[in-house]
Amino acid sequence: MNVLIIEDEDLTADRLEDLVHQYDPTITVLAKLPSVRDSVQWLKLNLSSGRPQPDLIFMDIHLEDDLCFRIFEQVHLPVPVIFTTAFDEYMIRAFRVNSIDYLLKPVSYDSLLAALQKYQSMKRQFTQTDLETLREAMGLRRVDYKTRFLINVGTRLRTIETADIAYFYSEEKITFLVTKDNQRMPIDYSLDKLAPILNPADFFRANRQFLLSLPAIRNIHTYSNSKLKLELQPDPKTEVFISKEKVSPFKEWLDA
Amino acid sequence: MRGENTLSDNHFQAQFTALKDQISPHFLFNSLSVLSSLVRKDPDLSERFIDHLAKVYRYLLEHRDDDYLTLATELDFARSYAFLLEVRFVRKFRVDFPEAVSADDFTLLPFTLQLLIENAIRHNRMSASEPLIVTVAREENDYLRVSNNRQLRSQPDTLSAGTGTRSLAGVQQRYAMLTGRTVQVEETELAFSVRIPLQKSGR
Repeated sequence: MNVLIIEDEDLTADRLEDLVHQYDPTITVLAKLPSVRDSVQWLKLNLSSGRPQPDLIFMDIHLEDDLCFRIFEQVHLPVPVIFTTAFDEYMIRAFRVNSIDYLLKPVSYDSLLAALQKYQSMKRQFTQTDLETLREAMGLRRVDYKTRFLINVGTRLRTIETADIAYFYSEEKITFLVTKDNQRMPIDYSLDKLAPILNPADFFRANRQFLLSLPAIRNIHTYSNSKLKLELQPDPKTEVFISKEKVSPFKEWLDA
Repeated sequence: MRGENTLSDNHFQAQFTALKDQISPHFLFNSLSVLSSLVRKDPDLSERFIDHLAKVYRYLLEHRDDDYLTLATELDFARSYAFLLEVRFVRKFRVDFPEAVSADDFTLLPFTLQLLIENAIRHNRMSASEPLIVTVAREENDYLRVSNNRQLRSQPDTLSAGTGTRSLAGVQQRYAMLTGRTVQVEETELAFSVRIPLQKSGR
C-alpha cells in the first residue's frame, strides 16, 4: 500500500509516517508535501502515470500557501482522503456526513489504527470528496462571494447588486450581465472567472454560455437526449439547454 | 479618560476579557502535535518546548485581568510564543526581536504581539524557500514596530482564528479605546508593518 502525506508541519508529517509504519512497515510513503502548490504539482505528475499510485492520502487542512481544498479544484483526485485537523467542530461534522475519516492532532496510534481499519473496510465505497461541503465547512462560503458589480456605462459608473442579476451570458467573447428588469450590460469578467466568485447556492453554470440565478428560471422542459431546456425571465432570445452531464448537478442545485 | 466608566467602556472591557480567554484552541493542539513527534527525535528540544508552552499558558492565566503590561513582560511572552511557532514551522518562520531594550519604563496592552504574530501567519504564505519573517523593533517616539515580509495567501486562513477583537481592526480599536492613541498600519507590496504606541509606565 502507498500513502501520500500532505502536511505543512514537518514534525507532524514525520510523526504520521512513523505511526503508519508502526501499523504496517511495508506501507510506502510516496511523498510528504507541505503546500497546495507542491501537492498539485506532484499529483499532476504522478497520477495516472506509470509511477506508483497513492492508495490513501493523509491531508492537513491548513497548508503553507492555502487551504487544502484548493487541491481538489485543480486535480481530479480519485483517492480516499483522511483529513487531519487540530480542532474544528464544523469540519468534524462535515466529515461524518461525507463518511470521510479524520484524525485529530496530535494523532494517536489508536486513532490512526481505527482510521486505517475503517479505510480497509470501506475502500470500495469512497466517493470523491464533496468540494462544496468541504468549502462550506471551512466557512468559506460567505467570505468570497461578490455582492455587487461596478459597471461602466459610457462615461458613468454604476453599481449593480448581485441580488438584482438574473443571469450572465457570453456572446462572441463578451460577457453580459442581465438584470431582473432586463437591463443588459457588458462586464469585464469571463463566465469562468465569475463562477467561483458567485455564491453557488444562487448561481448555476448551465452551459458554456449561461450562468443563471434561480429566480431567472421560469420553466424547465425535458428535452430529447436527456437534456433539459430552460425558459428564462427575461427572455434571452436564444435557446438555453442544460447538457446531459450537467443535468444531475443541476437537479441537486434545484433541490438544495 | 480611563476614569470615565461609560457603558461603552464596560462593553469593551467585556469584549477584551473574552479576547484574553481566547488564544486559539488550534494553538494548543498544534503544539501538542509537534511535541508528540519531537519527544522521540529530540528530547532536549522537547524539554525547552514544554518550558515555553507552559510559560505561554501561565502568562495567559496570570495576566488575565491586567489592563497593561510592561514591554519587558510582553516581549518575554512573545519570545516564548514565537519559539513554539519557530519549532513548529522550522526553517519557514522566524520572529526577530530587538536585542536588549530598556523595556521596563513602557507598557502596552497585553496580547498585542501575540495577535500581530498570529495575524501575520494567518495572512501569509511561508515555505523553506520563502520564509515568513516577523520583525519586532523598538522605534523612536515610543513606538514598537511589528513588521513582516508580505507574501499573501490567496485567502486568509479563516479556520484557525476568529475575527472581530482577534483581528488587527480589533487591536486598533482596543488601543483607541483604552489608550486614546492610534495604531498605525503601513502596507506596501513587499512589507506589512504595524506601529504600536507605547505608554510611559507609572501612570
